Amino acid sequence: MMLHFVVNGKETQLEVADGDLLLDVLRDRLGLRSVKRGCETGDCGACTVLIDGLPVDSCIYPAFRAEGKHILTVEGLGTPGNLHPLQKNFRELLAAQCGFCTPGMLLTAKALLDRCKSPSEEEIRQHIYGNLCRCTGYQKIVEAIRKTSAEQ
Amino acid sequence: MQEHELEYVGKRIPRVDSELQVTGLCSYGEDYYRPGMLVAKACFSRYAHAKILKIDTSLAEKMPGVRGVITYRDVPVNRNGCGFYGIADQPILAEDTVRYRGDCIAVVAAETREQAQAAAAAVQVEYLPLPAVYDIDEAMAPDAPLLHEDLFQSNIPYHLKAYLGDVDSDFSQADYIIEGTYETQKLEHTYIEPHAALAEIEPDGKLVITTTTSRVFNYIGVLGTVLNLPMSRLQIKGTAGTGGGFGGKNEVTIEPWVALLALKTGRTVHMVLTREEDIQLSTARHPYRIHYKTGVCRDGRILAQQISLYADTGAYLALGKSQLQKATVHAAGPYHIPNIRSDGYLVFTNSKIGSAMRGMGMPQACYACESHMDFVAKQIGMDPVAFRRVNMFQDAGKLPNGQVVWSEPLRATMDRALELFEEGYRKDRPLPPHTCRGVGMALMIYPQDPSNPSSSTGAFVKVDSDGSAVVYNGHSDVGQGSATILTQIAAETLGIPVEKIRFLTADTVTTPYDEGTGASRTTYIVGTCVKNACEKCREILFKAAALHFGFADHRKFAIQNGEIYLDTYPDLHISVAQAAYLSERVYGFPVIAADSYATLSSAEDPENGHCRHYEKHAYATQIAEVEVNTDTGEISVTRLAAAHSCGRAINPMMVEGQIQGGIQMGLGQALMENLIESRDDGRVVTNTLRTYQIPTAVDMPRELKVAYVEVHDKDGPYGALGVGEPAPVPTPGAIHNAVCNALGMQINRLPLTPDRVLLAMEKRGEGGKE
Ligand code: FES
Ligand code: FES
Repeated sequence: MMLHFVVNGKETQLEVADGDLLLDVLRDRLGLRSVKRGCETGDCGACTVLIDGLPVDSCIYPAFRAEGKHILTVEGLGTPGNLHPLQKNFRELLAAQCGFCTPGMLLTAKALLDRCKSPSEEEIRQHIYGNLCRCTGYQKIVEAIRKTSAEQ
Repeated sequence: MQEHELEYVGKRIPRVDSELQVTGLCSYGEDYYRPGMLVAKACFSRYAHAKILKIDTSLAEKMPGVRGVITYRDVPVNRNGCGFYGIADQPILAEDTVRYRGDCIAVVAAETREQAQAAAAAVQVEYLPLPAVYDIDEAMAPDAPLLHEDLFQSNIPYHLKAYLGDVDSDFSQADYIIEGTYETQKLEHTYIEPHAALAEIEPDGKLVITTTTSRVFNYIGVLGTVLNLPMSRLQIKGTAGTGGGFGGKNEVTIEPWVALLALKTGRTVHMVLTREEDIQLSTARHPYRIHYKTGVCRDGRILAQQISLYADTGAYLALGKSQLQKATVHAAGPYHIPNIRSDGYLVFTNSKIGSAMRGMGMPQACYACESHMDFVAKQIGMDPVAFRRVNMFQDAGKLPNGQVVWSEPLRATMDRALELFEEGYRKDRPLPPHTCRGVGMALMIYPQDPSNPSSSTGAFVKVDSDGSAVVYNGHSDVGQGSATILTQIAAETLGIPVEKIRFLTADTVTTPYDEGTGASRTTYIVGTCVKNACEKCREILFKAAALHFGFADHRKFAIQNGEIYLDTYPDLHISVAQAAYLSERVYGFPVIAADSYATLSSAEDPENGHCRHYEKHAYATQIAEVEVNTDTGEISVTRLAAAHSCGRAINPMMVEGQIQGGIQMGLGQALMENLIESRDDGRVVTNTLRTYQIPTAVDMPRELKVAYVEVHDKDGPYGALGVGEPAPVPTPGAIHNAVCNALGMQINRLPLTPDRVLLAMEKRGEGGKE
């Protein structure tokens, strides 16, 4: 079937099959390689994208359900030289070590800050609960999100 | 040269690749995509232990999209010494026997993932099942089936010793003899990026493999042998980004397969493991059982200790010996004990292979040692902190392998951790209902840079004519940030800003040898090497400056802020760029230099294990506070203070990040992580990230305070030593002690899951212990 959706602000259409997953469509068909594959079972959050502003594990999301929706990946968040405040703070506060969880983590954080201007530490932790990071202990991630919210 | 304030060392500089990371532009394993490439899928053993009677790939070969299938018949030398110091006990593809479920029978390359998957499932194998052993007791039973009959006469390939003084006579002097047994579980590295590799054949026939690895030079050694190719026809490159390693990307796994398939099909072959495959195939942290018998005086002095350690290394050796050696030598902890007998045994089982994992045997040994220290203190009625103070190393200490170590930072970490733990803490915090609270401490000694027989590295440096520089070294940055640390060291030494330096890593053709990332050796060994090579370049720049100003003696020059100047005539200065330009284009000596650095070890005495294996040691103290819900058995770590020695913090932000991440890993080991294999068929049961749980942001302590203690090392670059590898080591001991303190009982087994806690409490109710 033909899928029409908006990806990082761009009207996009392409042919997808029933069983196609959004992760594969974004990564392999549209070349959006910031969307990472960590488990394919919806458990790690590395494949997180925003669908109409809400964080979703794209590895378990059927592509056809994205019909008419707005998708945001990190490619659409900011670019080198033009970083989103979250990207800037993740970078400056070392919220990324290996960086593999980072795109998903950034998008989950963005969804939170879009909804809630100054979340408490507890709210931040609860909100990023589904995004696993094995490197950082989350401390600097929480700090980077708090700093961004304070700067808004 | 004059001492001046450091410009780049000691600064909180973002990672050199951080802009790529946060914009999603950093390339990881799966991102190495080539149009028209083939995709590989493997067919794994269906048994934990079996003879292979027949392998038939004819059906798979005829399936749609299939371009090539490989079995052991395609491997020129089917033996992998994946423990690179030792014996080649592991086949690349199983031939006559399978010894665990991760043994691979055949690998298929096809046009699509689905086609490859279908063909891998169509490989037909006839097995003759053999009895399997799943734990150390089964493996050591007199009638146990032998796993490697051809190489070892028992399932215990190694018995390592570390003996000091005279143990047997000295127990008679002790006022108390106290014994305890401590057990740990098997753990998964759980890097968030699974293994991925790409094999390409260049137009001239050379084979290039790009893979997620910590050790390109180990890989090329193994691949050169098994493929029977000279290194000149082979290149191994690390991916630009690797999504974590923690020791789990140390040994070749899928690389020989993609290489063989590329050679067979003449096409580019890509392989990305699913999480399930990765958990089954990759290595793990060894489960341990450690027994202590301790003779102690009424005043708290430990006189003698006997320790036996059993480590389950799974089906193959991998780095089992090296991690067992660390544990055997350091299981008595950083304590003065005149008489020690420590015996370590490595045991084969038909299960997932144990190998390197962050801390290498030490998170297990430290947990056991520190839990036992608390237990002994309790038995003799002493405060656990005071008991440690009586016995701990002061400025130096002697290990049971006879090695004397410098231990000055240990006390400082203890004092700092105690201070941090109390800082800003409100003592009157109410306790939730049905909850008890406890506090526990663990000290750590951690051996860095194991040299067996040597741990070496080389670096090239060049300074270009505009004052930019390139540093080449073969280690891998798998997320720990070494490329940034080393760039800071180079920047400081060359007087060039970080932005003008490129650091090239992990490529067997363009970068010089390095043993690889592990054992927290990079900052010290590679850092020293890079510093020395940069000093040589600086020397050349000074010569150019001397010629330029007409001075005879170039040694009078110094560099600061990108300017080369003379102390005595501060007005005379020349920029690094100008000097580099002049030396290259005018005076005829381009600014290039190479250097190498190594740590060496002495041979081991077979009688008592005496040797000098570890040049540097790291020290730490962690203190945890827990709340245990006595209804549900749930534990939450509410407060944790950690102080770690690091020589000098080259980048304080990264030191903190390493410690914080390490604590997360240690907390997982203490409370939740547990890799479970079926006792029926050896399959990994916890093969998803839902069943194998690692700590989330919610599981981490809200009050997590980390500090680094700077006591500059006399040899380390700018006084620095490594910090990353040992970060998780003291955490399980500290948490376990806090839980035992809260409940007033011993548990002695990890992980401390709610059901285990409840069971222990129930048993105590009945007057026993778990
Ligand atoms: S890859 Fe989607 S949640 Fe892990
Ligand atoms: S930075 Fe490595 S997984 Fe988060």
